[in-house]
Amino acid sequence: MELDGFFTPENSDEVIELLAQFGDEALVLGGGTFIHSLAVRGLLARVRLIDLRNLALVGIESASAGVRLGARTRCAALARGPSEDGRWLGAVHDAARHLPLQVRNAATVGGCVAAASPFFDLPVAFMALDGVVGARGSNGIREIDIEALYLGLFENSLQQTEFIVSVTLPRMPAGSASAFVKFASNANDLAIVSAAARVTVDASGRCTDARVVIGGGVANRPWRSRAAEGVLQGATLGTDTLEAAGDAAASDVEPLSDHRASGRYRKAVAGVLVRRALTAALARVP
Amino acid sequence: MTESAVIGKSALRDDAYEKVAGGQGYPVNVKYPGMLHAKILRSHHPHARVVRIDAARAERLPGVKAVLLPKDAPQKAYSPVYFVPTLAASMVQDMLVLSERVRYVGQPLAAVAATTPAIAEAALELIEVDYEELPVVFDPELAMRDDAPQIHDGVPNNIAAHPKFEFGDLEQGFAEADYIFEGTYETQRVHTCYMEPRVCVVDVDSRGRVTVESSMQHLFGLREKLAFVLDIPESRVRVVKPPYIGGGFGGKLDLGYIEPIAALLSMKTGRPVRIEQSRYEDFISSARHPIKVYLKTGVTKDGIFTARYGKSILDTGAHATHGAEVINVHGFFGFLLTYPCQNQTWEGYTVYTNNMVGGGFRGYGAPQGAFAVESQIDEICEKIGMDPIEFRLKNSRAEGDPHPFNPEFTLSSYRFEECLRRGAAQFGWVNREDRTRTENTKKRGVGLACQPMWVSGCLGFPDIYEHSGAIVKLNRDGTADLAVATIDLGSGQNTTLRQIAAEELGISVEAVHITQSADTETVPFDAPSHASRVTYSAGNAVKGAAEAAKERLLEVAGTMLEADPQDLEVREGRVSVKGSPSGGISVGAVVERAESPFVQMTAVGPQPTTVAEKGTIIGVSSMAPASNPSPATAQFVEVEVDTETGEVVILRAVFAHDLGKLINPMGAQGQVEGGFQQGMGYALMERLQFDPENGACLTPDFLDYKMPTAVEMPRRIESIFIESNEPTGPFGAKSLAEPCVIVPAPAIANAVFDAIGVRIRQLPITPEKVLAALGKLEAN
Repeated sequence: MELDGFFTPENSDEVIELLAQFGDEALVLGGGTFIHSLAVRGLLARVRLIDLRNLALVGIESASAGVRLGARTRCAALARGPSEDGRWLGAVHDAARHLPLQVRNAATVGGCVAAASPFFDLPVAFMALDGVVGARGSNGIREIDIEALYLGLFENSLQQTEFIVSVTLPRMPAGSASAFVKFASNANDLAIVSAAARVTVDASGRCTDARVVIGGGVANRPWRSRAAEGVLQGATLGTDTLEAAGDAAASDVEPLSDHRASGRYRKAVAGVLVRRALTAALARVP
Repeated sequence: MTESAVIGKSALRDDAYEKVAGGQGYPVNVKYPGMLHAKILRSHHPHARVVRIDAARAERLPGVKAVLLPKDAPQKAYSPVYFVPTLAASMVQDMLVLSERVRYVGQPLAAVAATTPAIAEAALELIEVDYEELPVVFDPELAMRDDAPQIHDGVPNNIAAHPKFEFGDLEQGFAEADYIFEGTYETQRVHTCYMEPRVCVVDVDSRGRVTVESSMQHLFGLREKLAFVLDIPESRVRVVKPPYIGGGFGGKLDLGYIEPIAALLSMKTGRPVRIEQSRYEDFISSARHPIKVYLKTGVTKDGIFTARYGKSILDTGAHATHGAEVINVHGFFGFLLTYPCQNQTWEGYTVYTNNMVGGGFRGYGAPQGAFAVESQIDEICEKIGMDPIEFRLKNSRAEGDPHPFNPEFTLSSYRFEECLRRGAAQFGWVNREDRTRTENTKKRGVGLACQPMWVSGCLGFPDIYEHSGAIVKLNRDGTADLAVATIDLGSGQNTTLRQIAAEELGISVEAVHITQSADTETVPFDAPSHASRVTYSAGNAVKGAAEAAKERLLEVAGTMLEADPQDLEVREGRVSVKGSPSGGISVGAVVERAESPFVQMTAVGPQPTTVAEKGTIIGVSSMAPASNPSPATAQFVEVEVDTETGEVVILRAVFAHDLGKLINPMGAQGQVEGGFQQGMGYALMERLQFDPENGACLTPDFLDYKMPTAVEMPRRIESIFIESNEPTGPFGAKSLAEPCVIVPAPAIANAVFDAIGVRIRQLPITPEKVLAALGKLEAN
């Protein structure tokens, strides 16, 4: 990597100016863990880094409408939880705990979303919670459903002069809970397969809403399995239903094969992880 | 023998703080004024002839001081292995520093020295190379075919070495067997994953003298090999001893490409040249060889071996290097000597391929053998219904038996049975059926594996150096300086040697200091830090030097105390008449006296002392050890297998080892735990992977090369140390270092079988292989 400039703009407008000025060579720096991993593998040529350190963008704000995470919030800040009334956020806390210790304290919420990697943990959880990404551009803040942010591998739908300032997770109704599980080779690994599940259950035990998202090498972006959600919607969530949802999710993906795992292995494990994520989420429903 | 004052008590490493504070002593931190930085251009092709190489543009890049091409490098074939004479008949001299024929992806082709690493790197891009591609072969069994591409001229079927050993009558043995077992066991290519990269600084001065600093495991081996390659007298090369290195594990037992390249660039530029390898470059510089082992074994229904046949195919990659010797250690200590049998045949093939070259790695061929042999014993016991401990004991040797490798020696200390019995007792082997075996979709299993026979150094091995030396010098403050060529790889060799010197001298371990500077000009030869040899072999030499120093100390003390030196002893830093510790004088006072001026001014005028007392109190040794005693090892593990994901978790590990005498308990435990981590990684996840089409490395860093972290390690690793008191060892010690790496893989494989009833004969036992074995993956 050839570092051709390092900037610490004082406010959002300066960030946007720099993005406009440098175009494709500009990279927004959050925690730097992803950029570092690209650089050491020789995947970055000439770059200009725009470090957001002087912008506030840090903190977890909880309101009745939901939880807003500043883009520069360290992933480690999400590792504790869920609290008693925050069970719907369970998947986020689970995912944050899966980040390697060496990464967790540096990586940021905005960075891990902007990287558009299906192998990262937090975005899979955010997608299960219908997360909304706040992108600041010259016309103010644009809200993007996180599913729409992901175009492909390492490819997001941000415009040239936009950068992420927040991720908002709308508060889920009573009877909601979520969980995230991950399968990897060791504690410093990217997901081979991961899964996040969120369920809302009514007083009679019927599932009124569900999200199932699979990460890792099952698709070129975190994959929301509507087939699995269809199995859950309106059903009573017994063992058979969870099993069926797992099977539906596995049938729903065409994972990649590489030196880390074959596609057929990822497919088999995807079904297992979806069932386990659902089981864990269900166990959290108050 | 009186009770030990130092031996057997945990001693702190005196370099621990320095290391956590950045480790100034690591070779990676060595800097020379005005030094240049070099980078190496490596082949993108697995097999090719260079038809044109043009560095004109690279030479013009500002900051570039020299470019080295094949035409600039000596075309003198060598074997890089440190611990043998360079032209040893048992090795293969098939390497060149830079060659116009490349045989694997990553082979060095050219190098650039520049004022910064970035400029050197940029200059590599400017070197133009045209290749004529040649046919490739990556599978050693395909490479052995008559129609395979020829990797080295004059080596039919690409077989670099083919040892074969026959004992007894194999056919007769199979005829006597009640059961015959056949199996094929395969192991993968793994790296030692030392933390400090291979790195060196080489300075050729105006007199043509070459000074080398490098992260390596053998001071004198580097001198010998580098002098050979540069075609200069050995005495012109001075290798500086690092205070310690950042790990080796056998991966730094050969001359790298970096040292001769840096030397040649230093000759060209007249400036010191530094080369530091990246993790990728390290990964393709050295590895444990993959070996495919075919076993055919006859046993009686009572569990006695009647015939053992083994054939081993070792993938040595583009050059023979260690592969020529690993195959023999594998054959003997991985197969032939492990369990006695009248009728045995083993043959090995070291085969060239277009893969990366192999190297040394703890166990040196034995892990591949143990995985095969110890897995098959488990299969045999399952079939004939015999407890695996009883089976092994029926086929084992006992203390006092002749040493099977070298009949001049006996197994003077050897407690294999005790390893099995005590390990089993602590593990709860007898009651193993009472455990929880299944919890939901997880299944638990237990397994054991042994390394019945191993080494304490290389005495008796053809062509391998095995001698050591030491200098012990006493100071006037009662301390001792210990100068040795032995390199501390990080496993605490310095501390062990300090303890041995301290015990012999009767002073505290804190009072023994390993000299801060040493080099090939100032210390006696030592063989490398390898082959589980330092405690036993270098330890004996240190003890010898300390004995010599002590003898002189007691002579001087004798004149001071007016006593016969024979009647004196040293304890806790004081010399006194045996049995009267209250009298006497401090060690420091004796040294003071020895080093004082002959005539001393006193109140009554100048007074002469005694000439015979004068001089530094110093002891020197250089010697080969008396024997090559075998330790013995048994490993027990409990695993939990997730039958839905195939993941294997190690719950518990118990390790029992006859090491003769425990010198440093904390150091020994650390070595066992580190060994288990490497063995467990080998068993479950580690593997260097390459593109099957073009040979490119797919696992160039720790994102894709996976080893166990602290999180994956079992919560309990228990070490049982059995002290058999080896008569030829320093204070009874023999060896510990390698068996703890050799045995985990078969123990884990056996435990996985116990858990799920399916045997996996190919390492690593990945989750995917487990699920496939359970029939839970869709057909391809």
